[in-house]
Amino acid sequence: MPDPLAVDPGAPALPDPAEMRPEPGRPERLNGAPPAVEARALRRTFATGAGVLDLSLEVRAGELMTLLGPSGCGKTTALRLVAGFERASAGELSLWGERVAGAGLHLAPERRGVGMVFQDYALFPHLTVEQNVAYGLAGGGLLGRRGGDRAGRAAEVLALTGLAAAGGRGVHELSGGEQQRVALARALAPRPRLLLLDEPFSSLDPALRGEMRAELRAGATALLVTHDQEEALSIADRVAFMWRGSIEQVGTPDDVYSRPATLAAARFIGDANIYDRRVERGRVATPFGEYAAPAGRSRCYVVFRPEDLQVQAGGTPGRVVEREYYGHDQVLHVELEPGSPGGANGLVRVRLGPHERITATGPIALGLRRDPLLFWE
Amino acid sequence: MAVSTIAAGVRSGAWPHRWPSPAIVAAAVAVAALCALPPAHLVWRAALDPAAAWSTLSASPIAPLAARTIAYAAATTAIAGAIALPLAWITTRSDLPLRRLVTVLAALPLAIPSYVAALVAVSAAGPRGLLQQALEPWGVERLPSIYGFWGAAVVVALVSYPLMLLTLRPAIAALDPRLEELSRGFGYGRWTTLRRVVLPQLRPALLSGALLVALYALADFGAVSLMRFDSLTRAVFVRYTSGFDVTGASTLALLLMVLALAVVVLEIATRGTRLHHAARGGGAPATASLGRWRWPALAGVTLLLAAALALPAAVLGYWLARGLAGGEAFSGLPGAVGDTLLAGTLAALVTAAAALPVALLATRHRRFPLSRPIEVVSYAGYALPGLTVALSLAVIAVRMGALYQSLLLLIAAYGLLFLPQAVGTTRVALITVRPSMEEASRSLGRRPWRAFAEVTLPLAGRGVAAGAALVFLTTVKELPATLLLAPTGFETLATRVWSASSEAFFARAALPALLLIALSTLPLAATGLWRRDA
Repeated sequence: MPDPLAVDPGAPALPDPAEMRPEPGRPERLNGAPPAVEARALRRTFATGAGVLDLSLEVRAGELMTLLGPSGCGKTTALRLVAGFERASAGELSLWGERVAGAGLHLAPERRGVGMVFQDYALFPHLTVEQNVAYGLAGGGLLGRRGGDRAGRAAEVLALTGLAAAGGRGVHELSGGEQQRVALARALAPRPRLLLLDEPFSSLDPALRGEMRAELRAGATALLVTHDQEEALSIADRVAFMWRGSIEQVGTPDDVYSRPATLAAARFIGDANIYDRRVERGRVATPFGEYAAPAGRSRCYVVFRPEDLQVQAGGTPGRVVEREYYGHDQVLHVELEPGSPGGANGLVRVRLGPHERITATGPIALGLRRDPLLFWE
Repeated sequence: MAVSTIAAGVRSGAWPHRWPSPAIVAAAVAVAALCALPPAHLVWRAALDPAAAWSTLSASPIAPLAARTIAYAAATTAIAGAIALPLAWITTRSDLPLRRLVTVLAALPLAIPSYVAALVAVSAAGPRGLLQQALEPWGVERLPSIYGFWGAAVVVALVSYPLMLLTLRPAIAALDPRLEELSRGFGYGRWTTLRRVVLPQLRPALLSGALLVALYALADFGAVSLMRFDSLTRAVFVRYTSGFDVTGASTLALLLMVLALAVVVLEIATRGTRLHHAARGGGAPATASLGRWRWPALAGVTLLLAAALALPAAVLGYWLARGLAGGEAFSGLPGAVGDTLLAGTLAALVTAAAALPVALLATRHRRFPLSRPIEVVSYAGYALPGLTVALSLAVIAVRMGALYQSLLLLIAAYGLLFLPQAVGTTRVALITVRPSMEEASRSLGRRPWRAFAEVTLPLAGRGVAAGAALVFLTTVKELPATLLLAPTGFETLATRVWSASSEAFFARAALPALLLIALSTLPLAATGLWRRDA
């Protein structure tokens, strides 16, 4: 599918297209293009008083961003605000530099040029697969849509998503995975400038997920909502972490995983051993080390990722109470000896390579492979 | 802070909170206003001149009339229940021979208008009826009279018990047989189990079925009149048409409305708030063996079907043959068929269209403050007897001058009476269209009205059509409102059956009565097919 910002060969003063190939983790390549999505303090309040959504977010041209957060944090609402299905009560939203929502303005969804893949797929049951895919081609009015014949484009998208043989079938005859691909094909067919996906892989088996990701990565600018952190990290150029109605952190997958901005991000993205400690004499103590507190801080959450711990002679002594072996790695549940420095609370999870030979329910000594994450209060 | 519910309102299962468009609101308000007009008018009239209203109430013995009507409705409901409850159980849970056939046939009497059933009863077992004529050679000059209270109750029960049967069968099918096994396992006997385990679970279905039958009985005019039982409806009709006593008729119609509403309130009050939807456990649907009761049960069912179905068919067939022999069967009939089809089709279309805005508000704009009141008001026709509505509309139209005995007024009355059926089916049909479907259409470039036309209407269309078919069915059978409001010279099959049988020209009534039954069976079959697909 063509790059939404495909460059006219005659135009001067633009970088060599060869340098503009999509490169994971390098969305800066389209510097100068307006962001695909720019939400500034976009707010949505709920009549039930359930909470407030306050969205500030930028999706760059050409990138695949995942919006990650626990259920009920407002991700879907955020996506629906961008699509135009929900009205913002305050704030501003621009798509590709064009204001679509703001004071007194609410551009209708059908005029935003945004494709959407719904969590329930929302396929039209009264149409065949091919008619579903061609639906967005028939009406016209989509921004950025080129000319060309409808049947040809539908066939092209069907082939792209591996559905070439299924065109004449009814959507009820399809498996879940096939329905999901029809939903994607239908959204892609009119060549939307921006693709929004709401938990699109939640009902797919892992093999199919991989396929669909590959198709997405080759595609346009996309914002994908998920609560599955592995999915969010593995697929995205950048991840936006959402918590209680607002974005807490935006960064590359390694960024948000290894340098979470908040305790919530650390806790939700990846596994974490968390020690809640008071500052005593300018320091906080944990079983694996003591850390100096900055001035004026009274409390600290010390977070050790399970893979940041290792077996270490002379380290903190404990006893393995459970061992989960996964093949590519293994997780130990370790009960630290009473009287460990800083005191022990609960079990510590340790992630080790698959080849370390551990006897379940045996003694063990743990040390640090990497410094913990410290969140001061 | 209940953050976890931020998304609760916007899940794909629920429509996002949005104000409805003014056009929809205006249409729905207009529909609701029309629905509220007849009852409001009756109340207003009585309140305006309470002295006149009271004088009519005291001038004639009103208390016995009301008591008689209540007793008759109760007796009808009891008889219908006595038929429907065992029949529902036998057709759902037993190994009765020919069970499927019996199940279909048992619901069919619903297609027989009450006045046709009464005509059959009178012409077969009345004075100088077929039975008496057959017995005359043995010197039987008189049969015990079938007129009056019990005659009316039995006839109306025989055509209205399917209402109860149809509400009971799904409830019985949903019963968890393990609960009964459990009860038997604790050592309780068959009857104790029935009384303490089964019946309590069936109570909601039993009550709502009873409500339907009681309302049917209260509202019925044709059968009670032919059976010469003086119920409220007959009194209203006689006062209005023969005595031109508008105030008296209005007051009695108001009383009738109050009785109908009392039945509804009674049902709601006794229904209880506990939900009895048992989770059906796995395992085969329990089929009880009738054992030695197998053949007696079949005999009973056969007897019932003979009385409710075969007898009407045979008697009408006999009169038809006599009519054909006498050359009277077809005179004026094509016109009546045409008028009937016209009235039924117009009513179905108008009612389906009127139901749409109400159903849209009820499904998609539930938080809009007017949605709930409008929906409630639109259900008025469900409880209001046709005669009450018709009388009130007639009085209003007479006052306005222009509309009285116009087709428009008649269609409005049908629409008002049968709107609940259309709103109900349209609502269910709209619920099946998930909001995300229309949103998908919007995101693919469609304006709202086009998304509705391209996605929602095709998907909800069958449900809407089923609602329209139901309205057609009930319109075709409708008698009292048609009698009161039909334009001069406008004759439907129903009014033709009525006028012929009230003058004992049974041969003239036979063919239109058979046509009516055929016409009302068709949509019943169509909706049955629709349900099986869904």
